[in-house]
Amino acid sequence: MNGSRRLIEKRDIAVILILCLAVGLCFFLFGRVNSQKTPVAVITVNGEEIKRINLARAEDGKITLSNGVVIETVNHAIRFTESGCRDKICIHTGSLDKVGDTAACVPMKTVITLEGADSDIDILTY
Amino acid sequence: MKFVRITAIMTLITALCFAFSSCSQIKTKSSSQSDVIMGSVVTVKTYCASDESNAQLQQEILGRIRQLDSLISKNDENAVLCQINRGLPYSDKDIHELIKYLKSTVDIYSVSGGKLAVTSGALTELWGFDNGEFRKPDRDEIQNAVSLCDDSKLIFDTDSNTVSFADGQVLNLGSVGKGIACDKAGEWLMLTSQFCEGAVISVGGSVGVFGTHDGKDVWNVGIRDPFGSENDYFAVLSVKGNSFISTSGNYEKFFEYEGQTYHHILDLTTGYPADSGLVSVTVKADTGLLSDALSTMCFVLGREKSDGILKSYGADAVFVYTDKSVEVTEGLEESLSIKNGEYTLK
Repeated sequence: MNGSRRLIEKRDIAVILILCLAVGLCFFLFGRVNSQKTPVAVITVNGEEIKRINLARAEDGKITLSNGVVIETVNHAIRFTESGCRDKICIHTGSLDKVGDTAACVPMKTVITLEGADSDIDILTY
Repeated sequence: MKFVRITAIMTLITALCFAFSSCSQIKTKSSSQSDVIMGSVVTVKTYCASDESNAQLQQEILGRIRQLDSLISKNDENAVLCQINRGLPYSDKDIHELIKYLKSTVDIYSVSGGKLAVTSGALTELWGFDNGEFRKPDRDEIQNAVSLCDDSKLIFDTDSNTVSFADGQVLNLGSVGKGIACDKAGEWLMLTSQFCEGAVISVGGSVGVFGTHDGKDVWNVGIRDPFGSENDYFAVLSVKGNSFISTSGNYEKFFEYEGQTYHHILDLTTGYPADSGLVSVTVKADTGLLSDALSTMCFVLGREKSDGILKSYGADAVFVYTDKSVEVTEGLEESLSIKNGEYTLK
């Protein structure tokens, strides 16, 4: 211990600090990526999930379900466009684009919900 | 010596990585599931230890709500309440539960001066609000139906678990069923074997929040903008776990006839849609049945008559008027934040 050979030198502390920072940064970035995912539209019929669409990557197009309900994705938003039900509430609800948005055709038991972590509210009361 | 140093550094980093990863392991995962039950969208979001736990718990809760529907539905021919209404033989398996819901609802509505009742079915069916075939009945039909909406004609027999009522009367739990479904979800969270920190459920807009989510004990519940579209909210209520929140609004079900708009929340003394100057009332209470019943009752009675009733149940409410002014009872003053500038807090 005459100053020439210590177990940990100043340079090592610097290396450890940098590595700690790097590890921390990785976890931080990884967490951010996870919590900021864009909305994923989940389509359910009779309680069964039948399709999952990542709206950020979705191309414009139409989906016709086996019960005749037609769903459209336009400009990273999703909406009901045709349904055999009488009141057409699902169509009137319009485009869904934020996490938490929901539209449903109750007679056809068809629901679209937008899932994801980035939302200001946890649930809506109506 | 260099080797020792490198080993020391590597050990430190490994320890660090473990520390970080074990932190993220404590964090629960969340997912949600939706279905249409009771003629409404039911969405359950759970925060459990694994994806499997989440899926399992959601299935269990949805299953219990389907079971509830087969007990309290007025419209489903296979449901017990429907069979009682029609004088058909019924399974008495869960009859004590049904009687309990009927009695609780009669009790809550007993202070409404006859404006609300569990025997409202004759009138709601006349207007077509139960099956979506809306129509404006004529005056005589309404008078006849109003005379049938009278809970004083109900007789409960607790020994035999039966309820009897007058000819033509129709028992209706439509104004509390969604809240009861939220109660069911809360009960199941206590009983389930899944390890979960919390859950949130919406049954057609009646909401229950339970436990915590990602370690946070405050849940943000958006209140639907009565003048906006289905997914718009004008304010947010921040509430702790194990709260039940229901909203009654004139925008939920309505139709137009000869230039007049008729909504579905009926005043049983007049037989017509309630007109208290309100567009919506949101109530926070200790059970879902209570929050559902009180939101309907406050909508019909108006602010003044509601205050004492809310207080007697330890409940609170947000009242929204046609001019977009908002009133809130004391217990929710701190929890309410208005997000849409068109609304003003009185």
